Amino acid sequence: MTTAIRTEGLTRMFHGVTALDQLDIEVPTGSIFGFLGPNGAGKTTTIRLLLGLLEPSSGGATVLGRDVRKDAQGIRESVGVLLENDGLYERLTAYQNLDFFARVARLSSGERSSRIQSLLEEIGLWERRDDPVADFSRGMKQKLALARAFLHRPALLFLDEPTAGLDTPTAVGLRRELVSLAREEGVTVFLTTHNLLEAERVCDRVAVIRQGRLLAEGPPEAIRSGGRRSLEVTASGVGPALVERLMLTGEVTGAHVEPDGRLILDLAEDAKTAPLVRALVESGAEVSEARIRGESLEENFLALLGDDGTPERSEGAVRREDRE
Amino acid sequence: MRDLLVVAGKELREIVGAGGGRRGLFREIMFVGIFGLFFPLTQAEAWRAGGVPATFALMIPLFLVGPHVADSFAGERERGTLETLLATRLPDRSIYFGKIFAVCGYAWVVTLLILLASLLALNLTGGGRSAAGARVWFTYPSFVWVAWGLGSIASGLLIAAIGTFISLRSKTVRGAHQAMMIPMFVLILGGTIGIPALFRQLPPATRTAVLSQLEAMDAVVVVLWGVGALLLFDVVLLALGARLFRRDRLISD
Repeated sequence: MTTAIRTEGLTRMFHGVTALDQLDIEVPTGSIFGFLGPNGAGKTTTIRLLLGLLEPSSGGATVLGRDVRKDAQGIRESVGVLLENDGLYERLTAYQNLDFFARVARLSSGERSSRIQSLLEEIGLWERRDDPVADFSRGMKQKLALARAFLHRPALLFLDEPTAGLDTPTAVGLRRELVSLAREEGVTVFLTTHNLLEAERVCDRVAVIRQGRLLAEGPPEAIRSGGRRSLEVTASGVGPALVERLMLTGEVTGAHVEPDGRLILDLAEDAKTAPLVRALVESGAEVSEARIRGESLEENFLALLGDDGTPERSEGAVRREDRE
Repeated sequence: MRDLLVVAGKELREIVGAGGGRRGLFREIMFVGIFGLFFPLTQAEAWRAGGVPATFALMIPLFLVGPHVADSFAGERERGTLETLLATRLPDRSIYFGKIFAVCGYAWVVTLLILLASLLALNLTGGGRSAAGARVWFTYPSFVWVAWGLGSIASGLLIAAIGTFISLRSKTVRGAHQAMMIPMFVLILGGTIGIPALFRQLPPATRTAVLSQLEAMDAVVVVLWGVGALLLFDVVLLALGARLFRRDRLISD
């Protein structure tokens, strides 16, 4: 497995404030890598550093084997970007926008026209090619910006919150376009988002960042299952003997009863919940509700961030401290 | 050079409002109508002498370049296109000089159109007279063409260099436009009122000596000296601007 992006202690400070603090990540070639974090976490700063638009205060990074300090132009030559703003020229038409960026990328005349046509057809904007971008909806602009990012067949794509501000159907459509284009063209994607559902559905690996610090990194399922998973049962007729019996199954690592009477079963890794509920019912308990807690990436993401900013334990994911 | 032309091409498309309606062209038509037709028709004799068109060849680029150059970086920043542009493989200098090349080229062409329109207007309403008194095609004296050919470029570059300094540091287009008013007024008023006023402050003997010296010289040479000095100043300003144009500064600002 080769690495498209590697950062080592990458740090950036602005006027004494640390925007990015000792970031260590590796993005495997060909993967879709999600960079998660709340607003102001340092996601955009990371992209700017990786594009060589900002100088690191300390540490370093390589992108497609090129050093961000020494060969920033080489990096920008081989990557595609869709940053916070779509970056489209509203006074120009869709075709003129793509044509400009194709010329910047030095595509030959024939390649330019065929590539622009195929991408505009792919995103359903070929019929609107001669319309000024100012007349487009936000969703259409984002699609066009995505096409622009793919224009010169980059080996790596940086996408900064590509679905931010889009309504759900448009966001789903754009996400679909992104995955299809990325898989079709074999591109590595570095995607920043605070949309956890998006990360869960699209990404092969994710990293969670807050206040410039990496909290966790790994496949989404590792982060998802890395937090404590428990089964919350509202039932009557549950006695200590039944709980003890459930503990013996090996699926439960601990149990307690909440003051309101709910039974909380701490689940073992990969524990199946259906047999546990069946065992409860077969033992005479009257189960009115059973709910799994802490299974979504979102819940574990929030747990990772913590209320006080202190990262909490996420055992399934590789944490920076663990690697050190 | 190829990258510079790509940037310049995009800028020109934006300037004339390609795909965005006819507003851009309307502005150019207005300029040609006012400076190329209205003024020559109402002040024909002054235009025929050559001093007025030569002065306009130096002044018009200030009006044409100023607003566009103010928009060049501040506008891109405000519209959210600057970072994407900086994230391309384009070298800094191609972006910087591409924008300047576009606005100056645009101003040069519009100034030429104004000059040609004025010639047409003067010929349609009287034309020139041969020594024998016959009606002939009138054309401007050589110094006017020198002022147009080189002078308009020099004055365009001057305001473009100053404008990029302002535009690079302005957060908004409005702020850049407002800031641009100061150098534009200084240059326009300085050229039309300031220099003549200063000249009048000279002792009469000195004034007479300077005037007689100038009269003894070929007008083309006088214009060339003036334009040469201006171009030298432009080169210094542009070199300084190119040194200050840095991606990281534009992003972190």
